[in-house]
Amino acid sequence: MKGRALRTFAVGYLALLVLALALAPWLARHAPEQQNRDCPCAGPGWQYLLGTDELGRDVWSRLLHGGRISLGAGLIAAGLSVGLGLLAGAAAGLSRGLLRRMVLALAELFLSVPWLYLLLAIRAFLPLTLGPGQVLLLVSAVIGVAGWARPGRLLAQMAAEVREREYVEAAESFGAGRWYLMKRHLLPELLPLAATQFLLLLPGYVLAEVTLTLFGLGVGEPAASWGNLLAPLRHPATAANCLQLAAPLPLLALLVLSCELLSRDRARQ
Amino acid sequence: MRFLVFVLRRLAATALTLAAVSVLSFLLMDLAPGDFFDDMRLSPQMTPETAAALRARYGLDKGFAERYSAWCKSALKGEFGVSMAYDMPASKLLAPRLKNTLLLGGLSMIVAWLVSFPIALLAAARRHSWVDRAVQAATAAALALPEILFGMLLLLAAAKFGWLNSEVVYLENATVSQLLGKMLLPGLVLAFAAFPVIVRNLRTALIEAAEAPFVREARAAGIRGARLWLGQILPAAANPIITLLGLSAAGLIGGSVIAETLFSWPGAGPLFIESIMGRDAHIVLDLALASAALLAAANFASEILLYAADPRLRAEGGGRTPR
Repeated sequence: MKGRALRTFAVGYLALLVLALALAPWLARHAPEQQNRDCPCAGPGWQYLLGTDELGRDVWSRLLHGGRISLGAGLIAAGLSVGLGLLAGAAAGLSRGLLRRMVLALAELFLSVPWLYLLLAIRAFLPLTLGPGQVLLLVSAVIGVAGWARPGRLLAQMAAEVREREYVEAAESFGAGRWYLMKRHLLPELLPLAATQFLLLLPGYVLAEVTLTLFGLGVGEPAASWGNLLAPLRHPATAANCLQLAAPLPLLALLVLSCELLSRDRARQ
Repeated sequence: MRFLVFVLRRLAATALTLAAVSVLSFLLMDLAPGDFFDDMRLSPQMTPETAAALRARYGLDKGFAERYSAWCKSALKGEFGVSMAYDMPASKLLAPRLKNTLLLGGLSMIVAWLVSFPIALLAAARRHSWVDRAVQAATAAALALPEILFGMLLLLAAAKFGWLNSEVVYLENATVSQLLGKMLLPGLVLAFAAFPVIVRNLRTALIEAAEAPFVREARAAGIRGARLWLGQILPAAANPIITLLGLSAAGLIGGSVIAETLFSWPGAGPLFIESIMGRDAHIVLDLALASAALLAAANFASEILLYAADPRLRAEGGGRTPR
């Protein structure tokens, strides 16, 4: 009963978040990049629902439009990681010898560098200044590629284990081809696992965008992203005067909580 | 003897991994557009000739193999390349930074375990009670605030209530209280992130151990309270606890980048970000390697501890990696 209420809460929050972000252009009255130099750091009010930032831009609008970038980057990156993971699983499941060992060794190699160091190191060797659209793709790609090993190793191990099962060997001895094995035996085992992994990775990846941007390695001004909203708060003076810029924090915390609840729910089933 | 083989095998595997990481990082750097001196072209003192001369001095004009072998040679000398931004051997720049990171990380880990341990013990011993439920709720809430979110919250609170002392402290000749004052906020971020992970896993490990038949026997024989939990159940849960120890250390290494950068603790994290921005290639490479080495060391230490703690592994493991 309690579990169901929590799940309803998690699904409800995620649905509401996605809906609000999808409707951003209609929900926000001001463009996210439009400045009003006459009232910087204004408090919440009727004209600016959540107040303005230090350049007089509407925080409510930047929150919604920035959420699209941050959540979008997280979704693309998580999809990419899980997709690469499924590829690794397929490789490990369909080949017994060298390829399987190479996939597992490569995953170990990626996992041997701590996550944030790996993410930043890969980011380090890519161009620093880019247009907003390119940055979104670049940041998502970097996060997705840096994080492939966690789902990749799990899915590869699972695929290798399924491949050794007796009924799969039986199917093989009857002459089942690789694609048949993949479709009939591997994918049905791998896909639910991949879905759980997606839920587990998503909040961390949204936070990865926030972290990269906060440290000046992600989405640059004037585009809005949740990391970009939070970045000025690193200056104590802004933090004391412009508290409305912290608006992404509760949304992010609820996102982490909801995904955690849902993935635990899936794991229990 | 078997133990020695196990240790040697692990060391060899770690060395191989680190070598592979270094080669791959070098390859990545080769593919990357631009270098350290590209960012300096805006400086009026920087003519193309000067840039070319400086590139030649740092060997940036050479091919991949030559640069890699030069780095390897300097690594063998213990210098690990050179920092172009600071114009000094990398080891001189890195040593104090890594020391600071280890100091902060080590202290936070001790604090996190000291706080988590009694809480987890209490929750496990009073399972399903209101204490247990409160602990569960508290850890769930803490899980929703990873380093970056809790760090930002703490930064906001610090700015609002004036906890950030802008007093300049030179760490080499700081008093202990000054040092602790500087470490308080970043350390809190690290300890807070480790806390729910430790409490949850520790509680599960203790509850699992408490369900063993011999614990029922001990209860029937009248052993209760601290004697039961600390004398009987805790040793039986040694394996997962040691694994957890390694896991929490690994979490700290990654999280330290965030905590240190947000609160300007002069550890490896801020230097890493700085050298990425400045394209100081050897420093980026060295720090990525150092973090991998620290992670390997944490895993290695927990494996050795497991080996020492569990006679079953010594008897049948035969040098295999204990799980």
